Amino acid sequence: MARSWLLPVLLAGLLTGCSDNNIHHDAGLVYCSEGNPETFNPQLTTSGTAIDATAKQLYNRLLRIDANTGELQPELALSWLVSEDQREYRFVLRQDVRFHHNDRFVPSRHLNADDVLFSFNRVIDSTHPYHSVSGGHYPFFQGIGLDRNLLAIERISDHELRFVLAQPSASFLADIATDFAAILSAEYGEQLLRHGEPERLDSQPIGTGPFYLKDFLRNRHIRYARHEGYWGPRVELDQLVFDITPSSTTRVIKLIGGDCDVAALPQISELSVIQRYDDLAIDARPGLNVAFWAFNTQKPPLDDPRVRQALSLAVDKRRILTAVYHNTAVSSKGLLPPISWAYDPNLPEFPHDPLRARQLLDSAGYSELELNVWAMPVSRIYNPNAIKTAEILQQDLAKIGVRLNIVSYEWGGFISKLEHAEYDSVLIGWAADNLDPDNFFTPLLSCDALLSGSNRARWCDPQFDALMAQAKATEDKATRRRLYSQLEHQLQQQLPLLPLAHANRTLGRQRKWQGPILHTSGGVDFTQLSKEP
Amino acid sequence: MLTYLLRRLNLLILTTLVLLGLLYFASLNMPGDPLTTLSGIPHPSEQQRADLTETYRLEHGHIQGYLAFVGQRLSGNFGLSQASGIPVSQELMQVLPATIELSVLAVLLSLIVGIPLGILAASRRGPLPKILWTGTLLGFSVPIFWLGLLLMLTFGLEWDLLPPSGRLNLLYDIPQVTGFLLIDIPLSDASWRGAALQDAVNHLILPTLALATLPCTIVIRTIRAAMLAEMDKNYIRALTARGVHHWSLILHHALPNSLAPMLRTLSLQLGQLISGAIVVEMIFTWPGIGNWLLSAQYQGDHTSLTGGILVVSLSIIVTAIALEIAQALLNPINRKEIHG
Repeated sequence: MARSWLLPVLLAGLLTGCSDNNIHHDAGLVYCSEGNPETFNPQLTTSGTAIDATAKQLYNRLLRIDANTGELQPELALSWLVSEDQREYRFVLRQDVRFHHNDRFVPSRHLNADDVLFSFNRVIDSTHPYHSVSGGHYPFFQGIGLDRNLLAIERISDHELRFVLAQPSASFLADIATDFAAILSAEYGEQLLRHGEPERLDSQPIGTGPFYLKDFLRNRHIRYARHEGYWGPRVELDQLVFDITPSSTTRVIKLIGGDCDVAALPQISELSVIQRYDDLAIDARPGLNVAFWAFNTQKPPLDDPRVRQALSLAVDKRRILTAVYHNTAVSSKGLLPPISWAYDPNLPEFPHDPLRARQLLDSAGYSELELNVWAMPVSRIYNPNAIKTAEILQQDLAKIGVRLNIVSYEWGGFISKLEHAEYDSVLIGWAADNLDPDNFFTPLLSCDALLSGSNRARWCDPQFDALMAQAKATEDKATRRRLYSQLEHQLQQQLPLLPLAHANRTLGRQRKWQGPILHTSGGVDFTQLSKEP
Repeated sequence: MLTYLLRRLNLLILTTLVLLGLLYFASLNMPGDPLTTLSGIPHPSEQQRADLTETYRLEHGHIQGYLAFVGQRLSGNFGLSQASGIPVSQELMQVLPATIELSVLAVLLSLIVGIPLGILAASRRGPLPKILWTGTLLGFSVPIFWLGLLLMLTFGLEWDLLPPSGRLNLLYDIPQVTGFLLIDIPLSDASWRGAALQDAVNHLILPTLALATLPCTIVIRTIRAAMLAEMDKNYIRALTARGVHHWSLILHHALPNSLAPMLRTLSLQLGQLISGAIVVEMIFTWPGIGNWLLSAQYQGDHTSLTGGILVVSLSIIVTAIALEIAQALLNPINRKEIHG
């Protein structure tokens, strides 16, 4: 009995705690992210989750897109020159760029032309020792055809390179400024190859970015620490943690509880909850994205443009905007969102006309029609709730006598089953990677994209392809704008897909953090954050 | 006593074998390739297939296969997690300590709070016993998911007093030694370990409260019933007549005799406690085995699922038998009853 006083004393000690030192807490930030990155190499993916976890934190690119103006700025390249015929690009590299180091690798030199060669040759050269490592798919580069258009990269000196294109491409600079065109370490690659473990290049990354990867525990967290030898402006955060929290409600709860400083992708219905707390704020940026309903144009009856027209005419977008987006999105007329410079304000809104829809179906000879629509099981930036969207479509189509069956799988299975193109139609979308308007067309509707898998409408039209190529190759902005407007008009006639909405990108954050996080071009960036004094 | 222990041990082994048999049968009949379910390798190559078929002796009939399965599982090979490719045993080592920490604290709390309240509830004077009795009835009937949500909504969100979710602010990077935060944090040499410990305790409060409610009411009720029965017995009357002080009577005589029935009831409720822990983990996003099992279930990761079920069931069996042995030690009559 003599020791019975011990327990209460111990408990009291625990509860009162000893908050002697909170400095540690101050320079770190927890970001509640929505999922596991499937790779730590942005070249290998187009998934927003993986890009958020890698591109802006671990790597640099040759150029970057300014978060506010959308213009190209030097990053690892100090300057660049474009040849007369628009086919040759010369880059001069920065000299003082250090790579990360970890337990297995300590760089012996700074960044030079070899690293750039290594990074791009991996993608474009199928004989490169790393080309087929980790699957050998480079969806972004293959989707825009850069793997074929980029003929060669020549090393001029240690810090100078020349890129040679097969065809002039107005979007080339913007393409290599995207999050996917990260520069990796050639020296690390060679070392891993010698040790026979090349896959580590993509799972235990070495980059030049503001943070290096400390550890990654699947389903739990990703820890980053500040890269002390970073060439750029000093980053205030000394550690960055991604708390992997798939449920959006839990992310908001953690944000309120203070365990998260920033919470990714709050659901639209949760925004009002966040607004109730004085110490929390919502960041919103008009998104470079589009949600659409893609028809499998290779599968009857959807190969008939009249059927696609009829289905599209039946859709009441206003209801989707209210019920799914809670009016935080704009209705889309075409693929390009209003913040794109190539957006055509005079493009007519696609009408909602169930009567004409029914007539069109009759004239096409389909009195009864039953279709399936695949709806994403998860919320994405462009569509917070595809299943609900599908239910609205279902009701709309029932009015013109079309039966729509909703199909859904869990996300991983959904994406891999999409590749087999067994669907009649699918509700999905696209978040662009750069401000070039081509990014909304070639990856989604070109014949090339049919192979790389991002062409969900299975649409391959030579005339449309040629027009896209022309728009991409043209240098003059006014001409390009006109060409993209033409493409949008054609899209409204052919309707391989029906654009539905452009959503705002949002995240919740603690007010004490100041500075931009969201980029218009997608991705999250924590380098400019600082704490309120 | 030795025969008694041997009998218990026998029971433990037999139950484990039956459990493994059920799991083996389930593994073979899960959707998908049985080899994948057993090993966790999503698309085994020809070579791997041959090796696995040999390891699990699938071509030698069910009995041989079962024995191979038992051998693999009991030697700690739970296969790989189909979702992550990491050995299931390694993932279990990550999540188990979190659950154990939470459950042990909840049981401790329910004992610390429940035993004194149970004694008070057994008193025959004043309104307190009635109030306590009503309270336990309430605690008994409140569904744990509702209570958990209520605690989270009020203390966590509405008043913003305690963290409503998670186990520790991730900025505190505590190296894992035992997996128990309350041990690992003091062990670490970081200068901020005081603040980290405070944070860990803050995170523990709400889930522990939610989880402790049910065992606490059970403790109060059984202690009260046992005490009431005990206080009417002749030896108590005799002691009272000898002038032994009332509280000394309770603490030194009636209470020790009432602990045995309490332990018995608690051990019967072990399954309930574990399912309660799973619900609580779900509500408070506690990174323990409950959360892990549910996500394995959601992802269709049957290898992890069977591994997790095995470990959870085994720990229930072992604890139940350990409690039974403890009771036998406390009260020899129990042993007699079993032996007839």
